[in-house]
Amino acid sequence: MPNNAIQLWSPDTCDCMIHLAYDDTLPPDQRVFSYVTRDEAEAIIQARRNAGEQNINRNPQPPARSCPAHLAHGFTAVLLDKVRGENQRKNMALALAQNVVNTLSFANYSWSFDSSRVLQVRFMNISVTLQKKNQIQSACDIQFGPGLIQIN
Amino acid sequence: MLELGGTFVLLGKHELNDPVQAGKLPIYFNPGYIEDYVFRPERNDLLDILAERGIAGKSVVDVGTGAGFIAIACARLGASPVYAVENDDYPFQHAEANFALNQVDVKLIRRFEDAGQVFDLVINNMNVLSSYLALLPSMAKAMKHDGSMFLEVDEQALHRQAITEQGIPHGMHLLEATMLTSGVKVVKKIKVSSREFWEVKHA
Repeated sequence: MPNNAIQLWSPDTCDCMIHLAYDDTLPPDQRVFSYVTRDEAEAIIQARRNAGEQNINRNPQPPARSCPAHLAHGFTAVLLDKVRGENQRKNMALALAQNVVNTLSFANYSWSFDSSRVLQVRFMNISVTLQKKNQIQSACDIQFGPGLIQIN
Repeated sequence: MLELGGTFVLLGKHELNDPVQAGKLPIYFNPGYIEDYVFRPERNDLLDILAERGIAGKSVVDVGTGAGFIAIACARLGASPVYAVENDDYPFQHAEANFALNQVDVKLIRRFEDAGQVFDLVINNMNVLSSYLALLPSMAKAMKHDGSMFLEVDEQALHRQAITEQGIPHGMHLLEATMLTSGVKVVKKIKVSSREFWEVKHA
């Protein structure tokens, strides 16, 4: 099936809002989400309205939004790559940290992106030795390449 | 540089020219792979088991190789030939790049059948019930008469998968039943931290 459904995705890593198209006949774990413009998203939903589907959103698709950090990428697939990449980096850095310090939880994990979009990570309410921090830093550098995550 | 268990160290592509401690075997990794973590304690445990076992000269196939860690490690330990099976395009491309980066002779294939041979050692550390159930018959056929198979088993995770994906409450029973019909049996369970590694042989 071609993509027939739309998700308006708003990550927790920035204020962008991006339309993603997918095939909703596939099981959730097999869905592939692709970038579409707001107009393309509207066309996909309109086709379902035209086909007489009753339980489909009657409201027009809201506009996409690019946050100040990602404005330069325009409303293109590059925007999705950048935003999704940062989101994955934030999630995977936590998992890597937990693989090094198995008592570490989401509640101990504080993160932010600096003006260069380097992920700055801090650990709260837990003692993480310098040796463990260095291990986490190494794991992040190997996983993503150096200079993208800073363990503080 | 990261220590992976007692034998291996993991280095990024940016550390290609860094010296490696004497007695350690390096695994180099291209950045950007997001399907799996470069540092997983249970994979380190498996690397230690393989190093301790001694697999030099043995034929090995790593099933569901992902980015190729285990296959690279086997090649570093002197196993030959080493095959890596990966069906999905994304990890396939990363494994291919990692084998090139490590300059190891690993044959990357899409399906078992493409190897056209049987192996001393069949490894599957995916810990995915549906994969084990689907692949066990082929893995059994790919194992030499006196060969071994290593499966990574987290019983709790497999139970959860059985309930959510298969709609049945007893994933381990299903796994054991599939082993029986595939003509193999568990001969040893090696417990390390939260995981077990099952050594399986022909029944």
